[in-house]
This record gives sequence, structure tokens and C-alpha cells, in this order.
Amino acid sequence: MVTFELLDEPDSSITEPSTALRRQIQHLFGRSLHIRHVDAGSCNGCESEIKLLTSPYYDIHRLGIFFTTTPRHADLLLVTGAITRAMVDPLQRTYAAMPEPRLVVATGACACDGGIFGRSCLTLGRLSAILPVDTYIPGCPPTPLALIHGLLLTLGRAEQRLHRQILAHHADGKA
Amino acid sequence: MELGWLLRGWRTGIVTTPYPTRPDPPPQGFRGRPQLDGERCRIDDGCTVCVEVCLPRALRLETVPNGLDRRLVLDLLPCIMCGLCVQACPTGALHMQSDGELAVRSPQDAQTIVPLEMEVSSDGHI
Repeated sequence: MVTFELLDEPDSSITEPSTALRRQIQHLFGRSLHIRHVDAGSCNGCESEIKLLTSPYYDIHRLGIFFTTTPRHADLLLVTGAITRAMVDPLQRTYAAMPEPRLVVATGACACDGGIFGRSCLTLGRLSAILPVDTYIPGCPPTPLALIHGLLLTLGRAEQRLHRQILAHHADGKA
Repeated sequence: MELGWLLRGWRTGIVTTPYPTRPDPPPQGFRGRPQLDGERCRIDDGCTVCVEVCLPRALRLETVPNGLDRRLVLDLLPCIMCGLCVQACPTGALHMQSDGELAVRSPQDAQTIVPLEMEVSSDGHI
């Protein structure tokens, strides 16, 4: 029986890598990155978009990014799906098998925050409940360009476009 | 035979996208993400149509940790970009943007928040 620790709220100390560590990772993986993709209960929508990344049109090999079939050769763990309870242990073992430093990317609405499945008796609903997530790529499914942007953002080769917005409300008072 | 493929490749040219060196515009009608306009939103008048119609609860009403105020949150992480909220919004405060680069490092960065103005009387009651 394998037990796992479930974090109810992600601890900011493990979800936020330090700036120095991030700089070191970006220096190490900036031009060469190997990805291990794990499907943790996905509907296959994200997979069909991920598959397109190696097609002649998107061709992420030109950016120095490759897919690998074993976590022992991987620098980045790409997780899709709503994190079913059956996949918690395989995910944690995959993460443990990866050499350090390692990056984790949550792909698609399900892995980011539950999507249409949410939290239930069968799904954890978000990847950050069990692993420290570096980058979230929302979308259902995210387009290949969004995936490329997310991967480059993880490597420090792209800028983050979205920022927290707090909107002023009813500038002219009550209607 | 080999010459045919060579000619075909020569005629086709480069098909690979120029992204990220140059932007790759999305196809027409692409639903990137919902964008909320706080000034047109009538959540203060009790309109919660978008919250009711949102399936993954990307649009939701939250209670601020102080327990008094509430706020409308548009969270892009669980959003499936279905566009139902845009169709449902009676004042046109929501519209879809064709912006596809949505990756964030922290979940808070994917949120758009509209704080609700509630009239709080001097004894703390709304």
C-alpha cells in the first residue's frame, strides 16, 4: 500500500521555486529540454494538440525541445488530465525518477484547476495538490502555439502575457 | 521518383510557423479567452447570469477572507473557453479575445477580479 500526502492548499514555499534556482534552471535547459508527458486522466484533447508539436508546422525540435519516453532522461514533466486517484502514485513515481533540477507543467484546464471534472471522489482536480507546478497552461485544449508559449515561458525564453487584474467597478456609480 | 519529391518540396517552401520569432495570427473565429469589462458589468445590481451558466465554475462569486465583502472572479485556469458567458451576458461586459498565449507561472495571474461595492453601514451590516 503506497500512501501519498495530499496538500489541501499548495504550499507557496514548494510551488514557487526561488529566483536563483529558476535562473540556474533556465541556464541549464535554455537551449535543450527533454519532456516526459504523462496522461493522468485526460480526454485525449490535450494529447492531440501535444502530438501536433512535433509536426512539420509547429516543429518544436527547432527550439531545442524534444519528447522522451522515460522520466530518467527528462527535464520537464508535462501532465494532462484531471489527476485521477489511480494516477497519483504513477505520477509521483515519475517525478521521483526524474533527475534534478526538474520542471513540472500543468497542461489544460483539467490539470490546472479541474476543468469540467473538478474535484470528485475519483479526481484530485488539480496537479498542484501533489506536485510543485512551475507553469500552468490553461485552455481546453490549449493550442499548440499556447503550448509552445508555455514551454518557452518555463524556460525563461518568453514573457508572461497575463497578469492578475482587479477591475474598477461602476465608475459612474449605480446605474 | 526522388526528383518528384525534391520538386514538391522546393515548390512548397517552408511550412513551419515563424512563432515565436514572429506572431502567428489565430484563425478567424478563434475563441481565445473571455475578457471582462468591469464598468459594464452589473453584478452590483444582482445580475449573476454568467456565474450560473459557467460549467467549470471559472466565473464565480467569492467571499473575501475578511468575511464581509464579496467579489466576482473570472479564473482562466479552469475555463474551457466555451463562450457561454459571452452569449449570456445581458450588458455585453464579456467578450472573447483571440489571444492564445495564456500560460502563467502563478495561478493568481490568471484571475480577473471585480470587487463588489457593498454599502456597509456604520455598525457593520450590509
